[in-house]
Amino acid sequence: MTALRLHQLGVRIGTVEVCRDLNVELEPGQCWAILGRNGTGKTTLLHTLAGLRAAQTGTVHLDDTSLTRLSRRTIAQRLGVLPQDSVDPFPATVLETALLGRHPHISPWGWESADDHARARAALAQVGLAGWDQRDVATLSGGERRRVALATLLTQDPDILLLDEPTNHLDLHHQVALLTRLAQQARERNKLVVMVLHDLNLAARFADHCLLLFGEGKTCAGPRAVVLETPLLEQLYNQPLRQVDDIPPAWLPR
Amino acid sequence: MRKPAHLLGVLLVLSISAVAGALFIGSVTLPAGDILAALTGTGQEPSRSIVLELRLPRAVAAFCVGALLALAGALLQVLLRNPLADPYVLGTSGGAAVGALLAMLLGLSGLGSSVGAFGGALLSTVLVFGLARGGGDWSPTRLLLTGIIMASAWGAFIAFILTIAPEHNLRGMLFWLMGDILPGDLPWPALMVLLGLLILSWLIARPLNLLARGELQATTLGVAVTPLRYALYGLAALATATAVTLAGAVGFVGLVVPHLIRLAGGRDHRILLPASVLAGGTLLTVADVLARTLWAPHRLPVGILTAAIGIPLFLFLLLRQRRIAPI
Repeated sequence: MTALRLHQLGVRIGTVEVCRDLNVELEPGQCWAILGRNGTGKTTLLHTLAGLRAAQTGTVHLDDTSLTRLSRRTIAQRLGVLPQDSVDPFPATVLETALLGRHPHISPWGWESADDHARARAALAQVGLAGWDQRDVATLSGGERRRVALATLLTQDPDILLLDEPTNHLDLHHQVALLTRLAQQARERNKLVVMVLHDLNLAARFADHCLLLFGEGKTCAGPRAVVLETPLLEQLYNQPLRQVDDIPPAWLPR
Repeated sequence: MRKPAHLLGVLLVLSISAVAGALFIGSVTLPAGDILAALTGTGQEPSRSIVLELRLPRAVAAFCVGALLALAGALLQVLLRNPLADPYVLGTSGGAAVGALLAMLLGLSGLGSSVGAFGGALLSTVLVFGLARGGGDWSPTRLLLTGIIMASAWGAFIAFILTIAPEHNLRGMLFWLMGDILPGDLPWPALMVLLGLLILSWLIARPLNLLARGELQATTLGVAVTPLRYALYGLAALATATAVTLAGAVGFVGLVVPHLIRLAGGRDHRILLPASVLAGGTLLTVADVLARTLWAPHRLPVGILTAAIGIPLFLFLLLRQRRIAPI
């Protein structure tokens, strides 16, 4: 199992400073939520963690190796990303799309084996799309496509799952089902899950660690119970909040 | 897995039949025995020269041109992530046309215009590559825009050459622009180029499946996107340059053949690329036979025939697809 270690990380995009001197160790078995207002650079940070863009200062290590020293293929064997949107300009079936996740694990000139097909089918069953193999993805609704994209990530089966707004396009039931599944991946299979979320209360319920982006490089990271405090959250969202006492607690806008 | 293999088998049979048909059909009717004898090296004149020096090189040239254009189209559609891309969007055919027409204007013919066309195609390729990369960023949109602008520039240049060209050159130039298989000694090198490019592109076929889903998705699934895109660009440019050198700007094959194959179920690029090669070759071989026989002894530009065959075929598959699963 693999940990993600951020050392003195500084990330900037245009004039926005996303984080400054950020030191965090994201360990296997943890489920992290990245929270922040629009435009504070949540996606940018997630892409930096995936090695998709270079950090301005500091490093991101996959265990003990800097991401910049690893090939994309090696990274993809251990770290997977659910992008914010998926594009399908060409026709493709649901099964073909899920099977893409096996790419980093198959030898360069190899073909997908029966085992790879079985993994893709199992992943589709996990997101409630069993038997949809031959459907064209272009005929699916936004939420169904999102679940296919998640099935691709589950087929890839990396140690580290980075998800950009995984609940986008999903109805309430599927939001809860998906986050339950991701939390399970962390708890039962010792995966590291890091997701950008917009819904504070879903984050409070499913993530055990949170990383808050306040903008202007200010950040706050730690276990849920420590970080999710009403004054801090009011500052985070620039919105007065009322805490509802439940387990875990929830927050309503005031 | 069974269905795509089936598709390749059918296309292989079609390709062989098309080339065989091209050997049989012509202004002189030859018995099958004479054709076989000529192919096995025991033939007698004049059927030997008709088969080996006229019909076979022409059939091979037609097959190669169709195959190269279809391959280039399939590659560029992924590179630009645009289903409407064809081998000419990057201005390659425009550059080739200017080179060939300039050679004709200078009174060079045959090999001269071929050299001109190949040089023009490569020049255009390098120009578009350099201009699109200018700022270091190399997005599909930027590449597409640069290619389209370059194509318009070549278009204006072509119009200028046609305006100043003397009357006796015009017909040859127009045929070149409409796409026409030129007799010559080039089909065998072209066949080598085709085989080489097909093998090279087949080696990168699986990553292409990922790149078709966007750069981000491909990168996160372990594809080194930048070298892959350079390779794609180079392979497609070389295929297009070879095809236009052989036959001028034959339209339509490069755009439509990859879509035909996708509609027939060949969506995986490991199937799509060889299937496009076979289907593109077949389409152009058949079109060329029709071009030289339909209105004999006159010859029609083959580009007209590729459209006449390909468009109904494409519409048929598109409509059938809609009934099964609406796109």
